[in-house]
Amino acid sequence: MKDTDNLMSEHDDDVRKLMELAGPRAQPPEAVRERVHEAVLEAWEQAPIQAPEPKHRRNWLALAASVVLASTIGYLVLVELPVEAPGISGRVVFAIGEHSVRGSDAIAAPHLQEGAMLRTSDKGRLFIQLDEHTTLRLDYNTSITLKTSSEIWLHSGRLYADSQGGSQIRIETPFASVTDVGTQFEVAVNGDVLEVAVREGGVTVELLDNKTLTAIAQSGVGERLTILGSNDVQRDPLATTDPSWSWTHSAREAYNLDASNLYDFLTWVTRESGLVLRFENDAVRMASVRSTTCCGEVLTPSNAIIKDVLEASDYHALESQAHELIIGFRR
Amino acid sequence: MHNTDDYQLVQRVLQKDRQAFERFFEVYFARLFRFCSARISQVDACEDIVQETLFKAMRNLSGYRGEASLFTWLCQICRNEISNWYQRSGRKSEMLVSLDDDPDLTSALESLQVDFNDEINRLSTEKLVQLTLDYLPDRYGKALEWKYLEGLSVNEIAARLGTGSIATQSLLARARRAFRSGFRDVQQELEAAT
Repeated sequence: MKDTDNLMSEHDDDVRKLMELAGPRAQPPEAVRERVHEAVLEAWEQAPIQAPEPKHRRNWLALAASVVLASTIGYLVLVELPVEAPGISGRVVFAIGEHSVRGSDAIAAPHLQEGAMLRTSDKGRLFIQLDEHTTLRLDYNTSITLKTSSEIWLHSGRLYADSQGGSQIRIETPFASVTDVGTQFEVAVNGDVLEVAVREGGVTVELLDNKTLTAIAQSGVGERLTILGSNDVQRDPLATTDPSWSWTHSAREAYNLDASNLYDFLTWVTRESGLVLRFENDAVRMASVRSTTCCGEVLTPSNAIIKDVLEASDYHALESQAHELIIGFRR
Repeated sequence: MHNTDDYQLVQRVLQKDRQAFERFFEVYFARLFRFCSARISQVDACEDIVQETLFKAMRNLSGYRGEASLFTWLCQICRNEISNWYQRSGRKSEMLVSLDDDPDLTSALESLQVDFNDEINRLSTEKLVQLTLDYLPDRYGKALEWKYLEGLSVNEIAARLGTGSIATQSLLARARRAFRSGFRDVQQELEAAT
């Protein structure tokens, strides 16, 4: 064996020794491989076809058709993309109601462009992944423009943002700019009223006259600002578990327990419920990452679901304040 | 999204690309089978579990976002299936492999600064190394096997990979680093499973 291997300065005796001791990887019996291949191939062939990613040009006919469809059936999600606009990482990952991206399914045409306009009708909701850490949900009758992946124009309706350590996002409205500080919050434009509700972290609200307001959430209590003008601001406490947040549950896909461990499930369910997740100690936290959950899908996060999942595990919920979920080993 | 290759493969499978399906099956079937076999000794049970895992993967593939590697995602489904199997069969989790008290192994493991404890001492080198290779990107695992088991030269590996020798040396270096890191991860994984 003559080559440049020996010139490599990196020491590789440990890897070589382990590889030689272990030998080649075991292969499954060929008969098993053939049976499973045949069965899985059949399942794959029977699965519905997903549409390919769209080309970035406007399909006027399809758009026109979708508008006709909207007027016919009364609810629709429209996503309108500009021609050859620069890409952003955002994509639509869930929609309810009839929906369309230039005539295609919004889920199968997920990649959004800068300047994309998204609009929901009276029975449409959307879930958009802006980047790895940031998501947006649009309620019924909402219209937004994605100026960039961190700047969104909210023209009308209601938007919920969940930003977990990603880049700061800024929601522009006709009345104010709302900037997050790593948080969960909601912004609603209804006529001449602007509502900003904070569920986690905080936001700053910059009004048209440059006056700045802040709203924060802590210990299970957030705030709702109702703004009619810079001199008419109403500030109310709002529990992070308040039922008014629950519309956001139907604006996202079901949670798949089959592909989840307990830690991921608990993280998801508490974040969706406005609860703070804590573990009795680090050993519990680490073990929960390796623990499985039961099967199926969860449509709506609830205390009952948490209870069901924990009962099927080696963990239980410790006594805690209303806004907390503390997990310990079952003894 | 960090796992672009995996995500693109999934997108092609979703779009009914037969070549992509075969690639998906070729890469992941054997890995999942070994993943399962490390936890359950019955071949029949592993066949059922891996088949069910792949059925569920096919049904849920559109939910794969590329945030974790595809193998990690599949392992999570498989782990749940294994857990269900244990519950259905009323058995306790088993660990198949026995103590491998090879002095060469001990030396090699010590060079990796592995912490020994009673559980890890019960695992064989074979299982640990093979599971580690399965967790690596396909090209890394193959390159390491070609080099250290088949004794291929860098140039021969480069020819198989269709790259140059410098790129292959670089890939081998990355593969070794990934192997060392993965070895410790797999060890923790099995430790937690016992």
